[in-house]
Amino acid sequence: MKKRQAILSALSVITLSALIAGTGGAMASAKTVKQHRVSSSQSTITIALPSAFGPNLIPALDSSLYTAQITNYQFDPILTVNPQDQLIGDLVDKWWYSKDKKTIYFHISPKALWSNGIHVTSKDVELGVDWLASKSYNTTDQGEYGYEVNSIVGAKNPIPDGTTPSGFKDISPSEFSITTYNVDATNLSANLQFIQPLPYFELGKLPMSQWKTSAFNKLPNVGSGPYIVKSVVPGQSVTMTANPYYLHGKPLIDTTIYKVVSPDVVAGDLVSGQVNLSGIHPADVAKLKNVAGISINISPTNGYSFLGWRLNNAVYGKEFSNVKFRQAVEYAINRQALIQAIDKGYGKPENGPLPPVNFWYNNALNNTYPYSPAKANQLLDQAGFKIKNGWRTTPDGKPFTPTLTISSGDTNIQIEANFIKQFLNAVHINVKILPPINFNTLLNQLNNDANGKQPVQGFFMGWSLGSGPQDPRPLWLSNAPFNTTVQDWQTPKSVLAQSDKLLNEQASAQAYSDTYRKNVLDQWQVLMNQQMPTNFLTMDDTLTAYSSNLHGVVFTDLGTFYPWKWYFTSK
Amino acid sequence: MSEPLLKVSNLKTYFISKYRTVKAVDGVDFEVQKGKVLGIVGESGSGKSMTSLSIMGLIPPPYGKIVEGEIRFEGVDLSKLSEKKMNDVRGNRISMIFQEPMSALNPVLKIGEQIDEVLIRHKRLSKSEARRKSIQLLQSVGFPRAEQIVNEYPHQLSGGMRQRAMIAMAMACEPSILIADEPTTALDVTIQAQVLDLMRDLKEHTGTAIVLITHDLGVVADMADDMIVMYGGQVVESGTADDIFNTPLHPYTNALMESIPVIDEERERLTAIPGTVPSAANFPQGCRFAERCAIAQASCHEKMPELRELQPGHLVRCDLA
Amino acid sequence: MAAYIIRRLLGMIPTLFVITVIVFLLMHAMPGNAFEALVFNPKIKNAAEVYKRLVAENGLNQSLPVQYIHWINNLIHGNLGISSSLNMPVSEAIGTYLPNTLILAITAEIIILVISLPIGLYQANKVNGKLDVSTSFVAIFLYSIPGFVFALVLIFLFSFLEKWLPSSGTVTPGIATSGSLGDRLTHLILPALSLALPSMAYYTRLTRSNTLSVIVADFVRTARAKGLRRPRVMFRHVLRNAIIPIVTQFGFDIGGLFGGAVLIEQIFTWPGMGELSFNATINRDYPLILGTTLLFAVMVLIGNLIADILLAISDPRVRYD
Repeated sequence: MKKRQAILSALSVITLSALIAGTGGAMASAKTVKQHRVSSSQSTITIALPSAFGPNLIPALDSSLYTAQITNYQFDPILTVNPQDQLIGDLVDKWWYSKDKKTIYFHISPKALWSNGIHVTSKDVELGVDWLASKSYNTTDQGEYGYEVNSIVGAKNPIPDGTTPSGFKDISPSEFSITTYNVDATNLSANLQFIQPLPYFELGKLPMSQWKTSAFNKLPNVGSGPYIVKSVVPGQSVTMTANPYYLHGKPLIDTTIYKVVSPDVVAGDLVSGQVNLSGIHPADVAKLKNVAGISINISPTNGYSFLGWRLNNAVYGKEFSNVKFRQAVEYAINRQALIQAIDKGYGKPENGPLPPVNFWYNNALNNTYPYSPAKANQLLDQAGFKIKNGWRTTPDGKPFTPTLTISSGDTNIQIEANFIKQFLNAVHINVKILPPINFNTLLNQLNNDANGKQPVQGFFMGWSLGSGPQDPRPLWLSNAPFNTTVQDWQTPKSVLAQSDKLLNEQASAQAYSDTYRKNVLDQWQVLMNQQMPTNFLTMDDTLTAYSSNLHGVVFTDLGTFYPWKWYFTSK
Repeated sequence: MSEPLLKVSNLKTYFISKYRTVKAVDGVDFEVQKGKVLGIVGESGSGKSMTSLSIMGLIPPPYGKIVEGEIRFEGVDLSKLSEKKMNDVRGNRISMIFQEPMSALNPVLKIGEQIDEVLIRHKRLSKSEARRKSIQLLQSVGFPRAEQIVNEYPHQLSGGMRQRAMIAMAMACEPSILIADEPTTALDVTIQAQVLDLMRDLKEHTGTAIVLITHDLGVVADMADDMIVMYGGQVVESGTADDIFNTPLHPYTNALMESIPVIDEERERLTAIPGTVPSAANFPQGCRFAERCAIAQASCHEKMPELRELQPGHLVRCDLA
Repeated sequence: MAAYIIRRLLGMIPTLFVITVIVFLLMHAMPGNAFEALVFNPKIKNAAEVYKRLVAENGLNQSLPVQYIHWINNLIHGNLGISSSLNMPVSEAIGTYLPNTLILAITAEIIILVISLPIGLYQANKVNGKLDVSTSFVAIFLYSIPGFVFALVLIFLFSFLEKWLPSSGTVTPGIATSGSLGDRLTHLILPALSLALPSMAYYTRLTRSNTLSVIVADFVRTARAKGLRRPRVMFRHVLRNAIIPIVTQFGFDIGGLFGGAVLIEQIFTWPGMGELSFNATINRDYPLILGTTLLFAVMVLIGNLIADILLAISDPRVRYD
């Protein structure tokens, strides 16, 4: 959903981007561009947000990804991950499992303090859990995180405000335990680690139904994270100051400003020093690369873009369901060329549902499906798609003219779809691109296509889907609700069952061993790679530009790490 | 005859553009005597309005220009005056009223305000003094409820009332000369007479000379002491009104006389003058009326006739007269 | 006048009603709703049920007339609903964003008038002079360029090349003087100029052409014939009339400026109504779309009313009783 929002707001400004590309070019070459003076004691970092943050600053209350970026600076979770995506302690420094693995015990770090010096206690954690389980929270659209506590006993469904699920036990001010319904290796890493303790002394007495209208929600004055909100200008900026009691030590930079900056001007703002850190478009890389004082980081992401086929389509469902057809398409598309054309080279072809950067990625998928029209033709021939008058027919000898539905708005989608069309035409598949339709119309058609009568045959939406780095099940289980990817994949029932079986292996005691789990997920990825339920296309890099005198930032596919260790030097 | 109040000699007002020259006024001479009425008669396009605008210094820029001649008024040549000095004359020593009082009055300013500003400009009156004077002026041109009229807008008045207001405005500074360009043309016949009476009364009271520009010979006959007849930017006949009406010498004047509808007489039809006034951009070489003249001879088309004094004070531009 | 305004306000009610119906229908003709994309968020558990519940809670499963009546009923009670994307009351969101747009639009309007009127008047006075031709060329050039291009060019010049002015926001965050008048003004200049420039060009042309059409009017000649000095003629007589269509247009444009600022607000991250409505639309946030669209409609209606009032004030010929 977030990706989609980002795409849509990008569309509106696509022409503007083209324009700024012009001015940006001038900017990079103009030697007269002055730099803002930056002193060695620079104590403020300005981070650009491409789109406005929401008005609610209590964790998880707002659905905006950008709001979450702010609240995550203010409220630390109980556990976190290191840049290698391994679970490590945060506010909780030690944790251990009961014998049956259903109960997890946690010990709160003695260094875990609120920004006013008060200790973080089990009571605060309990409030955080109660909040996520509460009806008040769940009457919103479950924020950015969704209902992430349903694995806790007593919280299968939202419970009344202020009640605690029976699976949560407050053992002492510094110890608590959580009991889960099922044994599942991903309970902690996919859900429970994200629990953010909330200050009981601030919110404990306030009915949750009133949280949204509370002063704390507009300007939370206390937190457990590296930076604490000091002032908010709605829709524009949030100024945060260093938390002197932060458990990893007081941040080196005094002030962090999150500022909404239009993607059209962010490149210029970086050059002029009005912004110190920002995501940028691929087109901006070339023009910022040579600007003194700007550094660029290119990090892989944890998502994939795809070309979908309605396997239950009334017209060509049978043909799409032939695994050789889908494999042939994968060989036929020169994905490296797509990356060059669309992403200016910042990305990688993907051969499965998990990108290479993922901790669980199976290296055996490397270099499968190299670009090979010959191989594609061979597979199509084998599958009986005969060539007649230059175009392939269905194995039954009927004309084969599948259509591609694309969403409107972003011209890049059309450009990319045209590339795909050319590649498929080259292997004699007479694919046609339908006029672009509204994104939501397309979603609607995909959602309501149980009988395959919708006009969508092949579809390309220009978005990326990414399962959480820890657990592909929410996207890939056959009963994962309303999931286009899985819905497409209805015909090969036996394969689907096999996939579910492998995925559900993670909910087993053995899966608590990483080796075992890796083995299961490796098998699953090989299955996906062979079946191509959708045609995996590319993984686009995350491109970040930042002031060269900013140091200490660790960039990973999971985002930037250790903001409390960042610092500026003089130029 | 005493020294004339206004003496126009050999006035030439041309419109000169890159492509052509329009001789709107082409060597006009006349005099206005103190306290008398001079009638200027002619068809549209004869140059009579341009003559009056030349006197006022209101020839429309940028192409219109007085290229030659003198406009001597109270010992000064108006055509040589600076815009600033001319401004002190306009509306003060010489004022002017126009044919269409609706469009000649500013639609968005109150009547009072439009009269006040003349008094404030030339008489240096304060606002309240000017207002008192404006009310008096309006009363003097026959408004019974002048106190209200000052607060009304032009569109709230009738045509005759507007022209009266115009006259009040023009008379505000008791000018030596009032130029009235077709003052009654746009009015109903009954109103016409009232306005003319008003002008005559004012002349009697103030001694203001009037230059009455009209195509209506009846009005001239009614009002004028002296008159000139214009055709093609030139004077074709000038003299006292009596002389010209009694013995019109120019064929054009004759033709004009015949085209007057006379109410008492039963006439089959009006004698219209055939043809149209020649274009001022392209006058013929000879007599400008020759094309339409009933008695024109070959020589008329070749040589421009001079203005000759056939009787004392009665001049005519026709070699055949 | 007060009665007139009240009557006009009452007259808006049927218009508003029709607008609400049209907006409501158009909005529901758009495919999708605010919650549809939710079900594609893999992080949300039981997304299908959440979706169903949200749709039911927001009444989206009811028939359109029922939804409309529900909405109108709330509206009459001052309740615009809760924005699903911002998760706050629509009235509160508008309350936060509207002042920024008002400040931007009013500043732009002031810039437009203060700069365009004198330039247009000057051009009309020196018609076809060097400055007229060159400024006219510039005006047409500016008019043909959309505002967002100015925005980018201005940012490039004054925020990137020279660090004189900030490129975004309404205040500088994290400094001691944040939110001071000076701080706000520096943020206001570039977006207000970007918004004003195309209109400035338009108003300059409008002033020029209106002035030119008025400058040849009879009443201007009258004013000059009264000996009034040039500034008085220009401002009291010419501009006073030429301004009538301008102020009327100005009123109409007020409504348009609010909607026209969408792109400008996007570029400058100016949290105003444009940005609010834009985000509302891409998020299918029905209550917010309805609220902002209604506000735009009201602004246009108010703009029209202002236009009529300005017209009534500036032109006495218009009757408003």
